[in-house]
This record gives sequence, C-alpha cells and structure tokens, in this order.
Amino acid sequence: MKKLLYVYFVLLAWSCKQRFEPPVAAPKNGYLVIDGVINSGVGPTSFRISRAIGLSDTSLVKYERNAVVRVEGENNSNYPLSETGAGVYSSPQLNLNSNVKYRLYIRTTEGKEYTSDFATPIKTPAIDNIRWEQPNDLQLFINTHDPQNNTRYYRWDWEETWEFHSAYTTTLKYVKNSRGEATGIDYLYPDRNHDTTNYICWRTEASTNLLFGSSIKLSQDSIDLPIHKVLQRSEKITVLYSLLVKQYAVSKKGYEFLQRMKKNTEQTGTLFDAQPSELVGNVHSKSDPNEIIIGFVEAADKQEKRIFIRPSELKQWGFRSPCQETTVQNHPDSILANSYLQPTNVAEYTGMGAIKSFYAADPICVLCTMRGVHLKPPFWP
Amino acid sequence: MRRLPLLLATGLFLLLCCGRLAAQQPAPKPVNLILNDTTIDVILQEFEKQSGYHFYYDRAQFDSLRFSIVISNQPLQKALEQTFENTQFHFTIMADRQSVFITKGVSIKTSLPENFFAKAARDTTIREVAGVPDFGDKKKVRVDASVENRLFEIGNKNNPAPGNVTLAGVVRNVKTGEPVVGATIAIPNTSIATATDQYGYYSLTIPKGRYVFSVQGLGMKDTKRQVVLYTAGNLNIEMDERVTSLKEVIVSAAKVANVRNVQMGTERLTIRAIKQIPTAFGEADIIKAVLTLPGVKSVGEASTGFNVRGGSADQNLILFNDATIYNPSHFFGFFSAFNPDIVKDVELYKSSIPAKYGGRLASVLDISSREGNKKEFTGSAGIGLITSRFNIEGPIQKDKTSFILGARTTYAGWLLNLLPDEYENSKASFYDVNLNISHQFDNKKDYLYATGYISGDRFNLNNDTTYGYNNGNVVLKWKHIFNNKLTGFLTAGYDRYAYHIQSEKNKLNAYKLGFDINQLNAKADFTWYLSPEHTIDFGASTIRYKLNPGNYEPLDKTSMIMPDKVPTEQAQESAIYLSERWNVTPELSIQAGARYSFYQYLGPGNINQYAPGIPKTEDNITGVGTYGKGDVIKTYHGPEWRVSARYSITPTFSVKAGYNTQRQYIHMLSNTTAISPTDIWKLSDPNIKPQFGDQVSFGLYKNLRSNSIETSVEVYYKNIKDYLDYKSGANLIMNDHIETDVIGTRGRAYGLELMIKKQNGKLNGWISYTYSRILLKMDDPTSGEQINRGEEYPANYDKPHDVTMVSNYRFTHRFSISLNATYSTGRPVTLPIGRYYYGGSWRALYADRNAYRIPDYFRTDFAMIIDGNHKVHQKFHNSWTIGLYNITGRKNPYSVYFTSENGRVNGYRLSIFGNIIPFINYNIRF
Repeated sequence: MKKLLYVYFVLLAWSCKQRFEPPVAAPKNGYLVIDGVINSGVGPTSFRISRAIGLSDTSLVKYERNAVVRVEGENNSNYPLSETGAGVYSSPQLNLNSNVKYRLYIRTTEGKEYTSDFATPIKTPAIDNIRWEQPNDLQLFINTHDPQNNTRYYRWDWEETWEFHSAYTTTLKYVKNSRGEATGIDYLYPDRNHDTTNYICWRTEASTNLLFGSSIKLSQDSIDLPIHKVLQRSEKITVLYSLLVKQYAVSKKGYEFLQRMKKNTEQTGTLFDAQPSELVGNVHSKSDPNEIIIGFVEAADKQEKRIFIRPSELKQWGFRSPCQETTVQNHPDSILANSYLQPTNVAEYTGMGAIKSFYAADPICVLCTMRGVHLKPPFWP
Repeated sequence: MRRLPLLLATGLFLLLCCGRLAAQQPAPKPVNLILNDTTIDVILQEFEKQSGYHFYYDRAQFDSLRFSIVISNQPLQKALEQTFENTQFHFTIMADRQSVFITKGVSIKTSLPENFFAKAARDTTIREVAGVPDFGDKKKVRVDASVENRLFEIGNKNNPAPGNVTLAGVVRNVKTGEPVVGATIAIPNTSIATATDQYGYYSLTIPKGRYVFSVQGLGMKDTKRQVVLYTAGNLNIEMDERVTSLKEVIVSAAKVANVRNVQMGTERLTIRAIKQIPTAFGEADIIKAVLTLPGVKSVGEASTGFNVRGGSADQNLILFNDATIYNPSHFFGFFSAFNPDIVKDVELYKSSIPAKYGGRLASVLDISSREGNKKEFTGSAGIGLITSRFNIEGPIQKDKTSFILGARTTYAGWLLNLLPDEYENSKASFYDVNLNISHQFDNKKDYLYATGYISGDRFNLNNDTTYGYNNGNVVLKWKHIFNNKLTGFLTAGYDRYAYHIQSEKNKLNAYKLGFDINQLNAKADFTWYLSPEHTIDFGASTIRYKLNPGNYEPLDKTSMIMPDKVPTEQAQESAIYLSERWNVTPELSIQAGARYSFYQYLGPGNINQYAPGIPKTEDNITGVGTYGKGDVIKTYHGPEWRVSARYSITPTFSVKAGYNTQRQYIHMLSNTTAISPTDIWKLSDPNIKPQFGDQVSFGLYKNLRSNSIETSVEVYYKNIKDYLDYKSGANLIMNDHIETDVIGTRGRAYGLELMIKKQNGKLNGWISYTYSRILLKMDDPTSGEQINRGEEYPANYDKPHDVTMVSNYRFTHRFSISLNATYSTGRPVTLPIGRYYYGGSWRALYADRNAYRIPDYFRTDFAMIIDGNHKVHQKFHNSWTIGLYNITGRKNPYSVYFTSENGRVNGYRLSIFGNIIPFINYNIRF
C-alpha cells in the first residue's frame, strides 16, 4: 500500500521528491516518554523512561537516567523505584492497597517534576487460556473473562521464546595465516568432538505492536482475540516454542490512548491512512502544563500465562532449512575462495586419514548464536 | 458589398431627421371610402384625391391582390392601417413632402410620434425582415445590419393594453441558433434591464411606449433594437458572434454588469476565457480556470476538489446541466471531468447563492453545455499529449431539434512506461461522453432538453489493485412559456457516482470494494416577470438519495474474504423556495429569497443509539433502533435566507451587501491528506447532524476607463456549524458506525477578495488577491476528544494569502500569448516532531493538528495560441496551443511524508510538477 501511494505520486513521472526537514524543533532535551504500568498485584513494577528524539537523530533510545522515580499513593504512601538498567526503574514488589489511588512521580536530573493522574488500581482477571488454531499459519488467541463484567478493557504484551538448532554441527575450523586468511583446515577439538556451544540456542522476542481489546460490545466481559501469529514453515516451531502473555486491565481512557497511538504509528502507510493526530496522555509537568509528555500511567495487577507448543502438535508445519553444504577441497586456494563459509564436517579422507575435502555452509546455518543465545531460559522444560 | 446596409442605414437616418422636421407640417385630410374587390391602384387614387398626399408604390408588388374596405371619415393613417391590415405591406407617411411610401416586407422607419405610425400588427410576432441583398459570402450568416435600425412594433396598436406590458423572447446566436446566456437587455439611462436565462430567454415588463434596447452578450457583438410596445408580445433577438478574425471596431457600450448586478460573489467564465488559461497538459480545464478566481483554492495540484471561501470540497454543488457531479475530475485531479468543447460557460456563486439552489454550504458551480448547432453540422477535434477529444453537433430537424455529442479519452499509457520497471504493468485510462439534445416545439412555447453524461476512470498499478470510479447522469428538462410573464421549467434527472477497488495481490485476500451514490431528483422552477420592478422566482425540488456506503466481497471463489456490507442508506431532501428581485429605485435594487428545506432519513436501517452527553464511541452504544422500509428515522428541516442588495452611487460605482444561510445534508468524509477517489459520502442521520452555514458579505464595485476595467473589493464572514472533522485516527472505510469516528466542529471563515479585471482590448485578464482564513474549533467537552485542546485550528485547506494573475495579450488576430502566475501560502499539515520508543517499537511523534505548513506555492505558466488562417471557405480551421507549465521549474511541494529508512525516520517533500512541463495541443474545427 505504501508503494502504491508512492506510485500514485510518481505516476506522471514529473513528480519528484526532495528531502524535507520539518521546520519543527523538538525541545533540546526531547519529550519525556514513559512506558509501563504500576503493578498493583504480585510481581515487579517496571517503567522505561526515555526521551523522544529528532526524526533525523540516528542515536538509539535516549534513556532518561538518574531520575528520582516513585509511586505515590493518595494516602501519602510512597514506593521508590530504583534504576535497574539504563532508563529502567523498577521495584520487585510494591504491595499496594487496592482501595488507594496511586500515581507515578518523576524528578529528572534537570530538576523537573512530573506526575501522572491518580488512578485506582484495576483488578485484572486471570488469563483463562492461550489457545491456538492452525489452518496454515499458527494463530494464537487470548482468552479471558471477568465474571463481574467490570474490566472490559485489556492490554497485552507477549514474549515468545523458541529453541532452535543449527542446521549443521561442526567439528572443524579454519587455520589462518598471519594475514588472517584461511589457508587450511583443522579439527576444532583434538578429540574431534562436535561444537556444542553453537548448536542449541534460544531466542526471545517481545511484541512490538500495541495489543489491546475490549469486550464492551459484548453482553459478557469475555475476550477471545487473536494476539499473535506464527507464519507456517517458520523456524520458530522446530523444537519447542513458548509464548508468555502478560495481561493488564486498563481504563477506558487508557484504552483510547493506546488506540490513538496505534492508529498514528502502526496503521499508516496505506492509501486510506488517517491523517496523524496528537496524542494526549495523563502525565503532566508540574512547571509547564503545556509540555508534551508521552505516556499513560495506570495501576493494575499483571496477570501472566505461558504456553508451550511442540512441532508434533502441528499439522504439516513443513519447516525446511534453506541451508546447503558445499564440498571444499583441502587446498589453500579453494579454502581461501570459500573462507566466507563455515566448515562443518569432513567429507572425504585421504588414504592416510587426513582431510581430503570437507563440507562447509553459511555460518548462520552452523552457528546458532548468530541468531540466539546458547543459554537455556529458567522456565524451559 | 457590406457597405450597402450601411448606406441604407444612413439613408434611413436622413429620413428620420426629415420626419422630425415634418412634424410641424399640416396633417392629411380624412378619407371616406367604400370599395369592394378592388385593385390597389383604384384605392390609392381615391386616397390621393381625398387626402391631397402623393402615393409612391411598386404596382408589381401588389400583383393581383384585391382589397375590400369600408372607411368612414378616418385620418389617412387609420385608413391605411385598415387597408394594409394582415398584409405584408408597410407604409410611411412623409408629412413634410405630403407623400406616402408603400413598401412590401420592409418598412421605412422614421422616428415620428407614436400616432404617426402606420401598420398595426395585430399578431404579436414581428414580421420577417426582408433580406437585404448580401453579395458577399453566402455561407456567412450575419445579422442584417438594418435590423438595428428597424422599428419593431409589438402588439396591437388599436387595442393597447392598460398599464405595463410584457415583452419576452429568446436571444440567439445567429450563426448557430444557440441561445445566448446572460445577455443583458437594457434601456440606456434607466434602471430597466434584464438578463437572459440559461436558455437565452428574457422577459421585461415595462410601460407601453417606444424604446431602444441595448443588447449585450458575452462574446457577442453589442446590438440594439428599436421597439414600440402596444401590448404584450415577443421579440426574438439574434446576435452576431464577436468574430475575432476580422478587424472591426467594437463599440463597447456600458459593460456594467458587475456594477449593476444585485448578486455579489458571482463569477462567470466563458469557455473562450477558459481556453486562454494555460494548463499542465494544454487542454482547457474548467476546474483549473475556476481556481484562478478570487476566493477559490485547492489543496494541491493533483487534488480532486476546490475550496471556496473556506468551504471544504464537498460544500460545492457542482451542476453540469442540472446534474449533480460528485467527482469532477479525472486521473486524481489532473484533468477536470468536463469536455471543454461541450461546455459553454461556467458560473460560480460563492456568496449570493440564488434561492433555487441549495444543499451545499459554500458554493454552486453551474456548468452549462452548449446546445447543438441548429442550422448545420459542425464539429471539432483536439489532440494533446495525453488526451484526445472529439465533438460533433448539428440539426436533427433544422431550426428545431439539434444534438451535440462529445467524447474524450486518454492514452496516458506511455507516461506510465516512464516509470521504473517494477511498475511496467501499470495501466490508467479515463473517458467521458456527453450527449445533449434540444428541441423547440412548433408553438414556440415549449422546449425540451435531454442531456446525458458518463465518465469513467480506471487505473491499476502493477496488477495489484485496480481503482475505478464513474459518474453517470441523465437529465430531462421541459421548459414551458406560459405567457410573456411566466416561464416554467420542469426537470427530472438521475445521478450516480460509484467507485470500486479491486485487489488481486494475494489470491486468498483478493477482494473488491464498492461504493455508490444514486440520486433521483425532480424540480419545478418558475420565473414570474411581474413588472420591471419585480421579478419573482419560485419553485420546489426533491431529491431521493440512495447510498451504498460499502460492499466488501471476495473477488472470486479462492478468496477467503468474508463478505461485508455497510447497510444501504436512503433519504429524501425536498425544498420550496420563493425569491423576489425588487428594483426599488434605479439606484437601489434588492433581491430577497427564502428556501425551506426538509430532509428525512428513511428506513430500512439500524441506528446506533448513544447515551446523551457522553462521547459517541462504540463502547457507549446503548441500543440499536431498527426501522423498516419507508420509516422516517429522522427529520431535519429549516429555513434558509438569501438576501442581497445593491446601491449604485454613480453609474459606475456601486456597493452591495448580502446575507445567506445554507443547510447541507450530505457530507463527504475524508481524513486522507490528499483527497482520494475513495472518500466516502454520508447522509445526515440521527447521529450526524446537517451542516449549517451563514455568510455576510459586503462589496464595492467600480468600473474605470469607460467600464473597460472592472475593480471590486469583497469581504465576507462565515460561520459553519457541525462541519465534520475526523477524530484522531478515524477509520472511514467499511465503517457502519461512522459517527464514532467523526466530530462536529464549528468553523469560522473570513476573508477579503480584491480583483482588477480587464475584459477587452489587446491585453486582457485579471489580477486577484485573496486573504482568507478558515478556522475550526472542537471544544465540546462531551465529544470525548478535543482537537488541539479545544483551541481553534486551521482546516487543512486554509491558505491565507493567494495572488493570481491571468493575462492574455493578442498580438494579431491569429496569435496571442497567455501568462499566468499564482502564489499562495502553503497549506497546513500535521508534522511529526520527533520519534520515540514505546511498546517495543519506534514511533513517530505528531504535534498539534495542522500546526505547520508546507512551503509556499508559486507557479508561472506560459502559452501561445496560434490560429490558422481565417479564410471563410476552407473546410477546416485549425489552431495550436503551445506552452510551458511551471516555467520557473519551482518544485512546489504537494505533500510531505515520513518514512523509515536505515533506522531513521526521514521526511520528504513531494512535488507533482517539479519541472518545466512543455505542452502542445492541436485543435481542429470543421
């Protein structure tokens, strides 16, 4: 669709595009961006505080460091959050009173103070189930319900973790000359064992889209919404796949905030794009009421559920590795020519048991750590 | 050769002088005569004997004609009248010479007092003018010059009606038989004046007596008619085209229409003026020409609509021969949907909208097409870089029925070939076809007009998605002249606009999406020429709407798309109106009208109900009302006022003021940056209120240098209520609860328009400056969301400053050049002011709606118009238009957009015509 829009403009070949630097200067220090939820239930509360940056600024996330961050109750209680990572302020457990309204307080190193509106902790019902269907792709759904019909608005995020194996194991390595060029081949370990540190890996990815839903149109506060999709033949489900879904109840206003952010930033690029609109959250600066702050802070108890899926549970998943092995002669010239490949195993020995030729493949087919970590997560069975 | 009529006129003029002198001579003695079945010789001998006057006549003209008369002691005048009654003979009494001239067919005119006039024509039509020998080109049709010097006697002299009498008729182009629209028929030095309607018809109610009418029409040579009015009658006036190919002196009489007109904010453009304005591809373009007028703007070069005085694109009623056109453009707005060879003229009402029009807030653009040539077959064709057009016209029945057929198509395919290879399979095409038939019944009181229009657009970008839209209109109009004072029109029509999108990108998701508006309308309009002081217009109209707001279905059996249909909507909009034009004094003229519109949203339908006082969101739906077929779901109605007045301080200087209110029941919803063919229209329903607007305006009009230069200043202030703007992140496609995605806003628009216009001479054109603002405000606390915190924000077509120059210089009659220049402030946009990381992703951060502007717009265009020779006898006349669009090559930004590239969010400004575009167009007329 984006392409289409572009083509529409260049349709008559006379159109042209030029760089456009908007005549807008974001304030020197950027707008404060506050991402997180006050967890009024069991488990940690964590906020990621950063700064919006200029459009053309190539830097990575500009975290707001060394700020004073705390959760304040209307009853004058307060719960400090400490910076546990760059721009990440958290507390392992807050123990809040569900009848007291809480807000987030931030004092930056500039000395500016920010507070969110006071919000009553919302009770989040437990996740009933994460179910899935697999006509072709694997479609995952979140099921939850509130028997009191009170919650109505929900937000989710998920983390998926999967175990995967390299296409080929390896017992070999290149021997390099003084210039760092591969000129020969040798065993990795004297006992000719396989490399185990690059064969089994785990990879975790978090949701990047805003996920929310509402049961407001339904007679019962019951949710069954698609939450994630794994494309058929994906490598994610080759050994074991796990999805952890975190659920928070949100207020109607918080829901609308998320909805607007999503329309502004995720549902763009089509011919039917909505014109962008502003985003007003519930965090305010104490000194400048007009300062733009991105974030909508609420208190709710976090609910989590994790499921595991094995490839044997799926029908015709059909993951096929695209990896291929090439046979390389043990000769400096051909080794050098193929040095961009990773050697795997011996293909042919000479009469004397030396390596006559060996197999090699793309490193990514051999070294799983190029894509994941060789560290079993604690929750992994 | 052509001197002859002139000599004749001079001769008549001399006679005229003599006649005046003769007034003091003794009158002829009365006559007594009883004769049965007698030749003319015997009668005239008797008359000579008794009156003492000499008679001059051509015996041969009387042939074997015989008379029976009874005259008892009558003055000679009366006796002769009685004698020649119901014959083709005219007589002229020359009292000074004691002579009487008797002529056949043609009368010798003098300017004697009324009772000196001979021949009483009982019938109310004028006798044929005798053909004055024209030794020149027989094919060339011209108005006989002597006609201006002839005295037309209207009505029955012997039985004059008491009080005022009404004169009516049709003003036509003598060459083509086409009616002349907007021609003024005025009596110099009085306030008596009228203008012809769309069909060339006029009516004047004035006291009995003798008048000289001065007749002026756009593109026509000024003419005059001498008339003596006894009783009601008709006078059809034929006018010559102003032929530019011949050197001639154009004597311009008072061109005071802009000063004298009561209406303000009315702009008329003839196709001749439109054709002088350079356009991107060399083809005359109606909408682009309208955009050069003060107070009219567009969002960008390739946008579909136009904005009038702070109105949105859907607030313009675009009428093409009474048919409503919903999408007036082709090819994303690069061309307008009207074939320039068919269009006669264009009238834009932006302030004093006549009471007979309604249903839109900002303006009425009335485009009328030509009637076919009633005398002979002619045609024309044009070849341009992208489009070709052809039209043919001619009589079906000579002087009664004619047709005109025009068609246009495109061959823009080669342009698409210039695109990168990945788009090699793209296609784009459009066409439009017009057919008009007009018929005049024998009784000269009934006229029938049938017009049909279809247009289609289709484009496909690399076989993925096909977009298309179509207009289709049929109108049947019957005009009836009840009598000279009352004319009526009965119009019925069917209008349709539809668009469709088809995607085959992914077999499983292949879909088609359709949208259409259908309206069936009927109206009756009457004009009653009560007296010279009073003209009354009244009538009624009704429109039945049927909208299919969205039909989403799988393209074929392999598609997994779930069919979805937004329920059909229907409504009836009716109105009655009455308006009067009152010339209070020659200086003061008032036009006042009222229109009452009545709108019903009709079932069947399901209407969402929302709790009052809280935002209309999906979550707040409290119930759904179900209505059956024909049920009235919601009624809106109210009066609309249209008042304007003109006061002439001097004959060339006047002030005008106006106030009008408007209601609009159908809305176009768009939240895309550029207006796309996929914008939807929505009828007012219980959850979407009609828009309401009112405007006050004031203007000063001054003509300089014997009216050859018109200047004007107009100011206006406008309030708009319930204009729909979209909520942040609204979704309008396939949405059956659109009320949750739009918000009613209040708007105010104000502005100043200056214009200097020179219509005649070698150098002609205009310069206009417009200052205008349109500010919207959404501060209803119950709407759930306040745009820009409830502060005023500019609408996305708010462009405060605009200067436009349109000029044409005619070096010779075969060569002229045009130079246009336009500057305007860049339109407002909502820009991202940064990016931020939230919810696992980089996101663009947008600031206030429409808080920034794209860079200013400036463009200059140049064109040369070269006509072939003007020899009369050749079968084909050709002309070339050669020009350069955007001669400064300025890269005017059309839009700005932001895209992620290599981890950065980059902004781009996009220009549609970022270079000099040469164009050439060849036109041929036969």
